[in-house]
Amino acid sequence: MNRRLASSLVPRMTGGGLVVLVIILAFAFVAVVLIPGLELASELADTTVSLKFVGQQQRNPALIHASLDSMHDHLTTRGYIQESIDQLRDAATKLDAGLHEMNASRAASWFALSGDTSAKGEPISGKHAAALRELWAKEQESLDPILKFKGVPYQDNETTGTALNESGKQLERDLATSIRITKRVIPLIDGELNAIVTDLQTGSARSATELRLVMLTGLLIAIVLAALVSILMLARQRQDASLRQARQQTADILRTVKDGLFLLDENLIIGASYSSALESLFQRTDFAGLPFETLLKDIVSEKTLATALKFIGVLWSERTKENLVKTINPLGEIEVNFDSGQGKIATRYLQFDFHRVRVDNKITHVLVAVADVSARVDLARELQTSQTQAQAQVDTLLGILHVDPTQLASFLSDSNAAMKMINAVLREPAREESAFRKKLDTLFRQVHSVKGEAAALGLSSIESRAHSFEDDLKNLREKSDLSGNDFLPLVIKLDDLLTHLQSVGDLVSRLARLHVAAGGDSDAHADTAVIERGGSEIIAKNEGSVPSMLQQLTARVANENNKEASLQCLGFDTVPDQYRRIVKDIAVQAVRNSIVHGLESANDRLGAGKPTQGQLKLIFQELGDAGYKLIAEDDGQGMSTEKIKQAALRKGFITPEKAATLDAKQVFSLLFQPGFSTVENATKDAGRGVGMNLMAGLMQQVGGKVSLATVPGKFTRITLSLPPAKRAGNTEAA
Amino acid sequence: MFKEAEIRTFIEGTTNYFETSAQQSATVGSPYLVTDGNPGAYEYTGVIGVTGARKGVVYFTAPRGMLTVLLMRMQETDTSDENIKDLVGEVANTISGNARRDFGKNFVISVPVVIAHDLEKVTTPHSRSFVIPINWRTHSAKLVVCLE
Repeated sequence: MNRRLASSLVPRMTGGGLVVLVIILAFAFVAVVLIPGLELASELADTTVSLKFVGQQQRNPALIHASLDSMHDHLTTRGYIQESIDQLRDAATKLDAGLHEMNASRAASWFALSGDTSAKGEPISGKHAAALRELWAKEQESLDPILKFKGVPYQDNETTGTALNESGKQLERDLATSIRITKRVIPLIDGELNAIVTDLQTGSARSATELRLVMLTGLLIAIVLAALVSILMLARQRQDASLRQARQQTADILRTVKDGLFLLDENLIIGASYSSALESLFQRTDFAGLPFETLLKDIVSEKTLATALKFIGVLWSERTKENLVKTINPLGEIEVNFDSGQGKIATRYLQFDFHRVRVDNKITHVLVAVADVSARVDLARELQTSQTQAQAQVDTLLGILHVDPTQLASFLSDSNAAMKMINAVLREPAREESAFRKKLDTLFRQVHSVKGEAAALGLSSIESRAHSFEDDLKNLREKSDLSGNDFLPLVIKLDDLLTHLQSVGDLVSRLARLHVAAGGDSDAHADTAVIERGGSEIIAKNEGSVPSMLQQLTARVANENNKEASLQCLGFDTVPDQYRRIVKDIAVQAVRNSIVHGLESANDRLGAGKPTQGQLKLIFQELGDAGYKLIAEDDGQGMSTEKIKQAALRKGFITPEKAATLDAKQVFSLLFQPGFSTVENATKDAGRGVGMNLMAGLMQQVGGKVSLATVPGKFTRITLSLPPAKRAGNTEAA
Repeated sequence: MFKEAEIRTFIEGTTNYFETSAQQSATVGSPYLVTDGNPGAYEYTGVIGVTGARKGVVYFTAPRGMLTVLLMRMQETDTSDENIKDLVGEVANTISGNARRDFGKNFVISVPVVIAHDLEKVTTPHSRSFVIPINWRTHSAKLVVCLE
């Protein structure tokens, strides 16, 4: 019941209200119960005393009566009367004193609250006082002569014997009068005394009833008081419990929340309560009482710190709008670095948010929320990086799209090998100048071959990087005093080249996967280039089906050049492993050259009496001890020395004077010079003037020979002689 | 080139140390790349972590022999393990000081950490590192720069 009462009371009444009620009730208890109770109790005690006193007085009138009677008898019998007089006097004195006492005003009680007599200081006799006084005065008056009697009332006479003398006679008369009066007055006094007793008893009974009532009221008030106190205690307990719960919840929140939360006072000192996350965010624990400035000092620049402090100062100003101020928060994204102590530095991005805390519409604190936004910042940066990368990839893609995938794959694999070789050369320990200089030659050969191949394939991004590398090498060659420091730019360029080759490799792999995923004619593409994942580890598979790749190449190049062509391949299954790549590369180059330079357009062929479709032949022959032969032939327009000369003149390869002196062999050899081409504008298939040069370079690599036969209007035939496989050793480009 | 300047700063920090503390300059071998993420280490390595404009580690690693001779050149007779560790830490500290001077706030550099005897613990955060051989007298040490 109490609980229900408490719960119904508590919401309506605050704890303070209840306490006031209890105090009022306690006062009421004292005023209504204790004081009157005490009063009544003392009154009861007084009444009892009075009753006893009055009881004592009641004996005296009878004694007076009896003494008078006794005196009369003695007087009659001429007996001794002095005793009776003494008795009378004693009784009269006592009664007088008693009545005097009874008629005297009593001391007033402490609390003149109750309506009874004693409280007001009335005499015990109360309303009977006057009557008593009057009766007693009368009695006293009658007794007075008797009490004043002295001597002997008798005279002895021989004759008459003992007789009353004069004073005796007087006494007898006085006695008679007194007895007569006493007979009338004493019963009246008795009556008055009885009336007083009755009054006192009535008063006592009333007081007892009142006391009972007061006690009952007291009990009631005590019960209510006890109930109220228990309610109060219950409410208090409940309040304590909810306070504890609230405190626990606050602690739970502060312990669990991911943000760092703390309050700043107007001196910018951090409060004692803060979230646990703060400790891990700032890698310290001494936040309570720490000045905000100290917290920031080690992690932001001085300028940011000054701005931040100014900013919080503005927040404290009532006039500024919070939302407006927030837009200029200098701590929106702060990079914080923590030395993890393992030689590593952890970087975090923290975002500080500031909120005014108002109590009674006055700013009392600033709540600071610190969040770790590293993930967001990292993501944004990653996005930006990947966008930049994507742009670079598009550029790279545009740079490699024109290159045949097979050739590209083989080029990448070769280039990576060359890069490894370059790095291996750099890595060889060197202390002396000669050791450093010795590195240069090998480096030159390696990077030159990469540059050559890149140029051949039209991979300008790689070519330019290799070229720059070569430039550095050239400078080192000319430098007199070489040291390890001089090689640093080379290593950095090597790093750049490797990175670039890797990104090209990645792209090629992705393109290859796209080709495969395109389905349908995937078989044909699979022949062309099935490229395994991992840029640097690209391996062109299915080299055995080079003819089919060449057939496709023929169809594609012819189509792109608006020509008709068919290709016949012979003997490719007998190509030894050692020559597989060279033969393939040369065959690709030959097919391109034949279609672009050799074959005429369909109309021109008709006009020349040839079938519209040009015939290409690629024949590989095994010659036993004499090695191998690769013949590339087309039935196109052949080559005229005149046309070659003109092109060479136009491109500044020869002077007009020199042109006049050249024989046919010398003219044809121009074709194999780097950069020479007879076509005006380079296409992706020809015109960069590197194809024939590459062919010659490849042959030189293996120690082979190139010969060319052509009849204008009829055919062109290039014959490449390769030494027997076992003798071919050196694969480095010169 | 920005990268080149950075690496030069680290190299200078290293060679300066030999120059000033041993009055005998160290020479630089031909630098090379390590692409497998394992540039290797000698017995004593002083590592500093770098973040900011670039992130990664730079470490100087040297064999005991070289460091012992270096200590002796510095008139130090106590060639205990502790002293050698202090020395390698000091080299790393000089490198970091040099970098701080040259790059200022662009680089945030950690306190050097010394790793001794436990070559496995010397690791790089990226697969590609620049390795610069540091030759002094007959000894060889390495400066490894692995920054992204």
